[in-house]
Amino acid sequence: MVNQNIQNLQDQIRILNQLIAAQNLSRIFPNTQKVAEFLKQILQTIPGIETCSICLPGQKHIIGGFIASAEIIRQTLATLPENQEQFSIEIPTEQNVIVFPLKTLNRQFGYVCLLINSYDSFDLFRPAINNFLNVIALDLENKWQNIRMKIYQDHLEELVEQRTKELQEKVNECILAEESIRISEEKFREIYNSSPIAIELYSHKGELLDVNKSCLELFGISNVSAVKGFNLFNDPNLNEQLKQELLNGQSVRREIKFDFELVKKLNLYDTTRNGFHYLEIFITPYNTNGNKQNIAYLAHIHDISERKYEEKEHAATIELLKIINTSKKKQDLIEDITAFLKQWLNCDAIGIRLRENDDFPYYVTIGFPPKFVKAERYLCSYDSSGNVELDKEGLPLLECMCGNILYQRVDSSKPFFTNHGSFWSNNTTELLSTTTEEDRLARTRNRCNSNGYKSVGLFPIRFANETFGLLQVNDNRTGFFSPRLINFLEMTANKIALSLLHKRTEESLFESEERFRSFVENANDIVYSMNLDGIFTYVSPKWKEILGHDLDEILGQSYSNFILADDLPEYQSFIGRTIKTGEKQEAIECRVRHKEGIFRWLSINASPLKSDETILTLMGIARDITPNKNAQLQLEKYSEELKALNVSKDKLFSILAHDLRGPFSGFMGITEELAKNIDKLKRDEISEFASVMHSTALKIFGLLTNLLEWSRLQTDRIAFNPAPVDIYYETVNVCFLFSSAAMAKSIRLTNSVKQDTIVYADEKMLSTVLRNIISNAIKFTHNEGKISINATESDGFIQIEISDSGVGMSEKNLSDVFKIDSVITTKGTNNEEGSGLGLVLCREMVKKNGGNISVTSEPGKGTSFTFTLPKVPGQNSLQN
Amino acid sequence: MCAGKSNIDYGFTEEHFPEGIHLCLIYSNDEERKKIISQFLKSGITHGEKVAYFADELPPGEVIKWLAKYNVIINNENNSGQFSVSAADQTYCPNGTFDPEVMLLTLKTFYLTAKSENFPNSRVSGEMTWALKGIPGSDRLMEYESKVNNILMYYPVTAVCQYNVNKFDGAAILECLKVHPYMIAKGQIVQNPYYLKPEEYLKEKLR
Repeated sequence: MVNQNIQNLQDQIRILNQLIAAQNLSRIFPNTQKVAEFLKQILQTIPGIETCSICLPGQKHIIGGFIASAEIIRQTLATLPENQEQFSIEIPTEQNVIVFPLKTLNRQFGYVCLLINSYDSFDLFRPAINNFLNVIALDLENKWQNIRMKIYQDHLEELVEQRTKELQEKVNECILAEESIRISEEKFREIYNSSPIAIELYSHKGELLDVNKSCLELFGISNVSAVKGFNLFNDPNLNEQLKQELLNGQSVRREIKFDFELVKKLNLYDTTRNGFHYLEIFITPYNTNGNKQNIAYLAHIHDISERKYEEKEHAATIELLKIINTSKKKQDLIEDITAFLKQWLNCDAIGIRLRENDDFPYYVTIGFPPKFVKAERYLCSYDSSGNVELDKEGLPLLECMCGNILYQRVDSSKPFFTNHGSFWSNNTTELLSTTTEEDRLARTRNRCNSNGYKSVGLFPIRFANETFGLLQVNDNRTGFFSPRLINFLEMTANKIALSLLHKRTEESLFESEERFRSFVENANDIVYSMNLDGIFTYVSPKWKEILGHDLDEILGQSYSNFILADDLPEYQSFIGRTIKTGEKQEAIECRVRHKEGIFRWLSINASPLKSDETILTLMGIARDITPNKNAQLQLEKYSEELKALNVSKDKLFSILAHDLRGPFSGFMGITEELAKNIDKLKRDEISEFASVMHSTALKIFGLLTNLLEWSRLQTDRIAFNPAPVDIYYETVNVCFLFSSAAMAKSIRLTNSVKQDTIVYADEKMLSTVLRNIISNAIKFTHNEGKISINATESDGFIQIEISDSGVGMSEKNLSDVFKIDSVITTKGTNNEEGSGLGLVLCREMVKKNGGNISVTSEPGKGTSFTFTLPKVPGQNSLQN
Repeated sequence: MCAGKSNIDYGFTEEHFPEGIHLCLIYSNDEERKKIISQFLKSGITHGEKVAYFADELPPGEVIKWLAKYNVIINNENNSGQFSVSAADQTYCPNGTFDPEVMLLTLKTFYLTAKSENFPNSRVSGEMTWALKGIPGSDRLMEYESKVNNILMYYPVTAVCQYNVNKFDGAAILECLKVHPYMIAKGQIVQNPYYLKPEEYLKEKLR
C-alpha cells in the first residue's frame, strides 16, 4: 500500500514535471494550431484520460479523436460567469466528458474536451491539468497577441515601406528633375553659345540682357555692351500690334530689311557689316505657369538675305524664261529682256550688243544718252579709206573693253575680270586711275566713265564658244555690283545666248519646215506618216483630192479602215516588213477606199523614221495609179479576150479546115461525079447521089449551126432568155428526135426524168446541150447498148445525168473533152463522125446558164455526163 | 570502453555537462537555432573536438556561409579533418534507405575515428527534416534515436538533434521527447521528463 502510494506519488511528480516541460515547450510552437496539436499529445499521456479533443477559435475543425456535443458544450460555457477562472466542467448529458475552457481574463480561446476512462487516476491530476491549461491559455493569448501584433506590425511595416517607397520615389523624382534641369540648363547654355542662330535675351521690361556669339557676328559688333542700352519695345521695326501680342504672351515673327549703312550713318553702334540684310526675327515671351507677367523675351534672328536674294533671282529667272518662251521674234525677245533687266536691276542704263557681220553694234539700249549710243554703236575701227582695221591675228579690230569681252581677251587674275570672261567695276574712275591700258588689255575709250557711269559691267552673250554679243549694265552709283549680282548677270547672259541660239535654230527649222510643207502640200502624191500601230498621224492635203476624205476623218484612224479587205493581208505584211527590217520597202499596190465607197489603186511605199536605231514613225508616199491600173486591167482583159478569140479563131479555122473540108470534099466529089456522068447515070443512081448529097449537106448544116452558135456564144451575140423549163419535156423531145438513131443501133434509151422537174435556163441552149450529149452517147454506144437520162435535186440545182454503156474514154481524153483548143474528134461505133465541137458548146452553154458540167468515164464500160442547172428561184423540191 | 565521462563546454550555456549527451533542439525560430548550434559547434572546435554537422534544409556550402556569419570560420588548410559538414540524407541514408543499425555503426565509427585521430572528444548535430522526405526506412527514426542512447553510453559522442516544429507535427515532437534524455529549452539544457529508456520506449513501441 505504501509502495503503491509512493508509486502514485512518483507518477504524479513525473506527470507534473512533464506538464511543466510541456508548458515550456508549448511556447516554442509557432502558432495556436501547433500548440493545440502538441497539447492533445501531452494530455493523452496523462493517466485517466482516454482521449481528448481541442477546439480553438478560428479553426474549422476540432483537433482530436472524439467530438462531444458542440452545442451542449457551447451552452454550458455560455452559462459560466465572465470572471471565472479556469476550471473543469462536467457535462451533465455526456458521461465521462469533462471540458476545460481555454480562457484568460481577457478572452476565451476555446476549450479542451477530455474523455475520462478513470476518474480515480484523473482526479489526481485535475488541479495540475487545470494549471497547465491556464498556462497554455496564457500562451495561446500571448501567441494570439503576437499574431495580432505581427499583423499590425506587418501592416505598419507595409505602410512604412509604402510611405518610404513613395517618399523615395519623390526624392528620386526631385533628384532626376534637378538633374534634368541642370542638364537642360547646361544644354541650353551650350546651345545658346554654340548656336549658329543669333539669339538675344531681353528682360521682362524689354531691356537687352545678353546676346550669343552668333548674334554678335550677325550684327558685326565686338561686344554686347555696344548695344546694351537697346530696348525691345523701342525697336521701330516692332509695331504696336506686335508689342501687344508679345505682352499678351504670344510669340511674334517678322521679316525686316536691316540697313547697316543707316546704323553707321546714325552712329547707333560700331559695326563691321555693310549694306542691308534681310532678317527674320522670332520673339518668344517666357512666363511661369499661370502667371500673366512675362519674365523674359527670347529673340531668334536668322539672316535670310541669301534666301531672299535666291527668291528674287528665282522670280527673275522665271520671268526671263517666260519672255524667252513667249517672244516670237528676235527683236521682241531682246527688247523684252532688256526692258525687264533694266527694271529689275534698277540700273541707269543697259544695252545688248549683237553680231552684225564683223562688228557687234548695239541691238537694243535703254537709258544711255543718244549721243553715247551714236558714238559707241560700233566697236570696229575704220581706217581713212573706210575699211575695217584688223588686229594682229587678222581679225577685225574691236575696240575698248567690249572688244576684250567679245574676243575673250581677259585675264581672270585681274580683279575686274571674272572666270566666266566678264568685266565689272564698281568704280571706273578708280579703275582708270589705278590701272594701265596694258593692265586692261585694250585701249579703252573711257566714254562710260566720262559719261558718269561709275559702275560698269560687261557680260558675254556666248554659248559653246559662239559669241552672240554682250550685255552691258551701267550705273552712276559706285558699288552697284555684288559678286552675287555678277554671277546672276552672267547666268542671264548665258540664257540670252541660249535663247538666241534657240531662236536661230527655230527660225531655220521654221524655214526648213515651211519648205518641206510647201513641197509636201504641193506634191502630186499623198505624203503620210503613221505610228507603229498603223494609226495615221499626218496625211498631206492630196489625200482629200484623191480619196475624198477630210483630214480629220483620217488622222487618228488605222490604215485598216481604208485598205480593201482583199489587199489588207499583203499591206499588213508590207508594214510588218518595214518595221522589222527598219528599211525602206519597195512600193506595193493596193486598193484604198474612196469616201464614196469605190476603191482606188494606190502605189504605197514606207520608210521608217528612226532616232538612235529606234523607229519612231513610218513615213511614205502613196501615188494614185488607178488610171494606169484600170488601163492595165483593161489591157489584160483585152489580152485574155484576144487570146480566147485567137484560140476560137484557130479552132474555127481548124474546124473549117478539117471538119468542114472533109464533107465538102466528099460533097464536091459527088457533085463532080454527078456533073461528069449525069447523062450516063440512071435515075436511081442519080437519086442515090442526091440522097448522099442531101445527107452530106445536112451534116455540113449541122456543123455550121454548131459553129454559128459557138461563135455567137463567144462573142455574146447569142440570145439568152432564161425561164422556167420542164426538163422532162425537153428530154422527151430529144429522145424522140434520136429514137430512130437509137433504134438503128438497138440501143435502149431510158428517160427517168420526172415530169415537172423545172430548171431556170434558156430552153434553146438546154435543148442544144441535151441533143449534143445524147447524140454523142448514141454515137459511142455499141449496138444493144443502154443510155439512161436522170435528174436529181441538189443544193438549189437540178443535176441531169446522161449515162451510156459505150466505149468510154481515156483519162487524157476526159481532161480535154471540154477544151476548144484540144477538141477530140472520134468516130462513133458505127463510124459516125463529129466535129468535137458539141461538148465545148455544151460547156459554154451550161456555164452561161449558171451551171457546171462534168464527165466520168471508164474505157470499155461507158461514160456519164452530168450537168447542173439552177432551180427556179423559190422552188424547193422536185415535184412528182 | 568509456571509463568515465568528462564534463564539457556546450557553448550556448555556461553550465558544463558530461560528454556524450543526446539532446534534442526543438525550435521554430531559425535565428535562435543558428545561434545555439553555431555556439555548440564553435565550442567543440575551440576545444579541439572532432565535430560533424549534418545539413538538410540548406546545402553544406550554404551552411558554411551562415556558420561564418556566426564566427564559426572553417579553414580548410588548418582543418585537418576536425570539422566536416555533410548532407544529412547522405549521412543517415547512405544507400538511399534509412537503417538504424547502419547509422548507429556510423556513429560508433565517428567516435572511434575521432579517438584514433587524437581528438579528445567528438560532437555532432543533425537537421532531422530529412526524415520528412519519404525516404524508405525513415519511419524507424525514433527507433534509432532511442537506441542511440545505449550506444552513447559506450561511445560518448555529444549529439544535438534538431527538430523544426514548423515541419514536424505534435505527435512526432512528443515521440522525439520520449527518446531524448535531454532537451534544449530556452537555450538551456534540461532533463526531459518525457524521456523513456530505450527498453521502455521500444517495448511501448512494439506494443
